[in-house]
Amino acid sequence: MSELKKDLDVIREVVESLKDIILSNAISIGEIPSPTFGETAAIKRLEDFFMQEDVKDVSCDEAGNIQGTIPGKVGARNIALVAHADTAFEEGVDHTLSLRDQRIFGPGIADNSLGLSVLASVPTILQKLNRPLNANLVLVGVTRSLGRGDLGGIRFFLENNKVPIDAGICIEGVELGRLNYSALSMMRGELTCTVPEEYDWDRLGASSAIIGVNEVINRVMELPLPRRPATTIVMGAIKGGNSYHKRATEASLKFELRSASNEIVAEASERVRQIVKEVEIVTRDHFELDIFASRNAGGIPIGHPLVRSAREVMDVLGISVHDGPSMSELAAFIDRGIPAITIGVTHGENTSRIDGSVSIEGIYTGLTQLMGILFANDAGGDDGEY
Amino acid sequence: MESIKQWLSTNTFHHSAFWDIKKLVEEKERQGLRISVCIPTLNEEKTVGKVLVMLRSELMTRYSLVDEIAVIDSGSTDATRSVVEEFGADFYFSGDICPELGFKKGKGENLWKAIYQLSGDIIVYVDADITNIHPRFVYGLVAPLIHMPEVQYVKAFYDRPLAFSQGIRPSGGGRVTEIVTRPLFSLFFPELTAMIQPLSGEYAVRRPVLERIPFPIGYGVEISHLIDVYSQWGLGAFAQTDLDQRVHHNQPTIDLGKMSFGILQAFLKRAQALNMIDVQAELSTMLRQFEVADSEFRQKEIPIVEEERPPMIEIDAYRKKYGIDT
Repeated sequence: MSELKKDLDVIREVVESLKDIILSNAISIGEIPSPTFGETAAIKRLEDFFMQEDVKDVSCDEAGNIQGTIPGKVGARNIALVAHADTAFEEGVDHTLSLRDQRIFGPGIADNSLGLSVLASVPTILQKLNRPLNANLVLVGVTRSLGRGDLGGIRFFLENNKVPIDAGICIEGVELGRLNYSALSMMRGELTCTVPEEYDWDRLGASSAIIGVNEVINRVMELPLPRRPATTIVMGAIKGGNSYHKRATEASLKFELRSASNEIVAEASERVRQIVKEVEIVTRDHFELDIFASRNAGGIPIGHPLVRSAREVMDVLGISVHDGPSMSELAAFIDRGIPAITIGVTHGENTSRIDGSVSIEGIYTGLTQLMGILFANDAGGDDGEY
Repeated sequence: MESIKQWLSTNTFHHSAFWDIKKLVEEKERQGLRISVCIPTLNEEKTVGKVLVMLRSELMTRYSLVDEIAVIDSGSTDATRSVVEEFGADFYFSGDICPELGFKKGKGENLWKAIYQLSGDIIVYVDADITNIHPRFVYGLVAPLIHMPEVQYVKAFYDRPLAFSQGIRPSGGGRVTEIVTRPLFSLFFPELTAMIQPLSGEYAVRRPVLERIPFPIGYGVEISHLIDVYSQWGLGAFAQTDLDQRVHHNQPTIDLGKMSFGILQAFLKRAQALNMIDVQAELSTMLRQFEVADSEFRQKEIPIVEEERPPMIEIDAYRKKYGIDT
């Protein structure tokens, strides 16, 4: 049996001995509504956990992020463990979670209440393991990640944090097996079309704002996009109208452009702007295009020690590894030249729905994986490779 | 009433006063107390897992306030048993506890059998259908017992938000409390009206009291406890703790009718035993409700008999188990 396997077996045993605490942390945090720009209560709950576990230097910053540190034995390096606090569900949604069939059910548990709760559980696991890290572990719960948040929390933290971060590990509730170490270039926007209340027989497309948006979609989908580097347009959400018998006076479309090339995304964005202008001229409908989020492409090499050690840990645990780019907090680390990866905690189902769920058994594997990666990257003490 | 005013000021608490669980544990250990939590169930697979996880994590794993958590079940046909075992709590089918005493289906039966099965000096009863379960549902109830030796029975109520902008606002219990129980108490036991939610299913009680009171097996168990404890030990034996909000599934009015019928049976029996009323006629145990089908009113006859279990201390097996002299 390899040393790593023995090590991971010990960690797994400790993680399983803390099942109750790990699950109750997930429930306590997951039952607090935490929409983007409304994460205060969830962050406060995490702060309570930090205080309870004697995490040092606990503080909230102007962006509403919370951070705390578990000091290392050597303390020459700082590893940031990051999870975003916002979920896609609004305040008014019933956030009651339930445990059954060996799963946790409820809105936002997969993305990302479970991930956030891991920050509350890690101090307890480390304490029970009685095995301090050499590096300082900086636990960061970040706000404003999703949608219009545009990674606002992590960007603020990395911009203003006084402690130099040497590496980052981003935690997402799902999917166990993901190993992201690169970010795609991305442009995210919302298109709104409005038509006057009065019916105008002379204007093409004026019969409905939905038709105006549809015209833009048709034209955008005709754009020639390169296969290499892979480039995609994601039509994420469409909304318009209120009834069967009344034409829609307003319609909107949420979309994303993604590519491994910053130039291609910039070029495609410009083409989308032109299309919107052209459709506006033809239809005489009113369009507004709001480009509110962007990411730069980049990443660390597949052979980077952080990636290599993470893959090794996952292999030993029998986790099937899925590489690929990520749109998460990872992009902010990469923007600043800090090596980072994103990993998932467990397996999920229907994760974007109110009745989404995560596997409980997977959580224990996911946490063993995380602790294994932390220790594997801590072996070098103050002379780590990155 | 002056006695109510006095009692409210000394024996009514908010759970936030007891947030320091570590201190509670120290005091509990100093007194050498053992605390058991009983969760009565009947087909609670959807909620019992969360209740167990939330209580065990904070009150057993992180702090040693509770010594055992056990589920006493009335014969669930769903996955309650496997969920309980999955989350590491003890599961007992009520009929398997002292089988020579027979099995009666009802929550009160489970609460009564718990006195035999669980070993605590204090037993805390917590329903399994609370969707916003939190450790305060236990520590908020045991804390007055730990701090006040004269208190025997602590009842939960769910009421007071910590911040309220107006000076006065109504306070009280659910529909059955306000329509049935409180008017009855006002007539016969005015001091007991001080209990904000006399029918709440969460309470913590010392064993010497639990083993000396009878247990109706059905709807009447809570009201009977209050009358029996009050009659023997007085209002000073009670305390109540505000646990803020309790989220659970609301019952339809028709079901509350059954509940009220059971409560009235238990109440009248006690009022008669205490010579407060004299009922000469034999009371019917059939509740009659009505439904309309095809413009025709139909009678529904629902038999509800509030059977009672005797005080546990009268049971030979119990006295033998706990070494109580006959």
